[in-house]
Amino acid sequence: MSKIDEAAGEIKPSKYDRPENYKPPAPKPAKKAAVINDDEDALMNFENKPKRAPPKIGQRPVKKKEAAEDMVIDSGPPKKPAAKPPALSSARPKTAISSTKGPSVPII
Amino acid sequence: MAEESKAVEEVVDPLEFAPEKDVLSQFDGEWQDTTAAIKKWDDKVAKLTEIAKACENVKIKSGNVEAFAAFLKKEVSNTNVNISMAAITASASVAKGMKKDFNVGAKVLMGPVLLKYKEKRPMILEEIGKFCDAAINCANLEDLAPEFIPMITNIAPGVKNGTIKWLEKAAQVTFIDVLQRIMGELMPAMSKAIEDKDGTVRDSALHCMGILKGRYGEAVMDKYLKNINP
Repeated sequence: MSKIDEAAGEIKPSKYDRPENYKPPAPKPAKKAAVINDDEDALMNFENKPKRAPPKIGQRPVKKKEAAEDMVIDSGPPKKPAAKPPALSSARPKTAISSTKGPSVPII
Repeated sequence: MAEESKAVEEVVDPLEFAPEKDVLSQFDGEWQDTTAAIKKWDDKVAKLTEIAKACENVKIKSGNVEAFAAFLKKEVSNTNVNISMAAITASASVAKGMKKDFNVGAKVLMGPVLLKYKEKRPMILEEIGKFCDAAINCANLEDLAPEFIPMITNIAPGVKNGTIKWLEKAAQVTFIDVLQRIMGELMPAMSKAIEDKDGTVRDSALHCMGILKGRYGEAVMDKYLKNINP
């Protein structure tokens, strides 16, 4: 029995301890380590790209384009000018008669 | 240590970059028939030596090896030791050059070659060893199990001893799942060999059992080892 144990001790771990068709598991994709930038004066690189563009100091903001005035909207044949509403007595221009005094002489 | 073991495992095969040669077509059916019909043993040995010479330092092109292996098997089993030895040498050369492509050939030749361990001449024993070593690279233990397991319980002590020693070597370079698949057939034969009346066989069997224990693990081997006298 001691001979068997002695011989058993001769066996060292090897690739044959795995099954014949053993495939090692695919390595997980390593997470990107956060870049710690201690040097504040260092130039910015693309890895630390800011979300917003830096403010443009000393430049006037670009005006937004206004809608073109000359643009003619093509909407069929030209329409006739709308008919004037009937003239109302209230809309008639008042005469230069003083409103405080009533008519002294009937107008013929 | 880990690097060292890795370096040992990843041995570069020198024949990997060797030129490929179509040896099988050179020794076709006609050549086999002519050689088999030769009566004089030295002429036959000379013919068989041609095979080994043609296989020197070349990678042999794959092909149908069944007929060629059957021819070699017949010559390996020849009663003339010189012819048998030349055939074993030729078989070893082909196995070395073909590797996995000689799987069928290794299965056909394994039994007759192991039987030649009954010979006592060191020269033939050396050639048998060369073939057995080459056969490990052609077929795994599961493929060869029907050929070598009966040899563990053969009448001739030389056959038993030679087979066990080869098994011990092969078990160390066999994947564990392959070893586990032949365990059911192998262990009864090995248990019998441990109790052999021949001291050399017993010693070889005990050492081989130890190697198998190292591979299978203690828990698995306990049921086979509990009846052994300490």
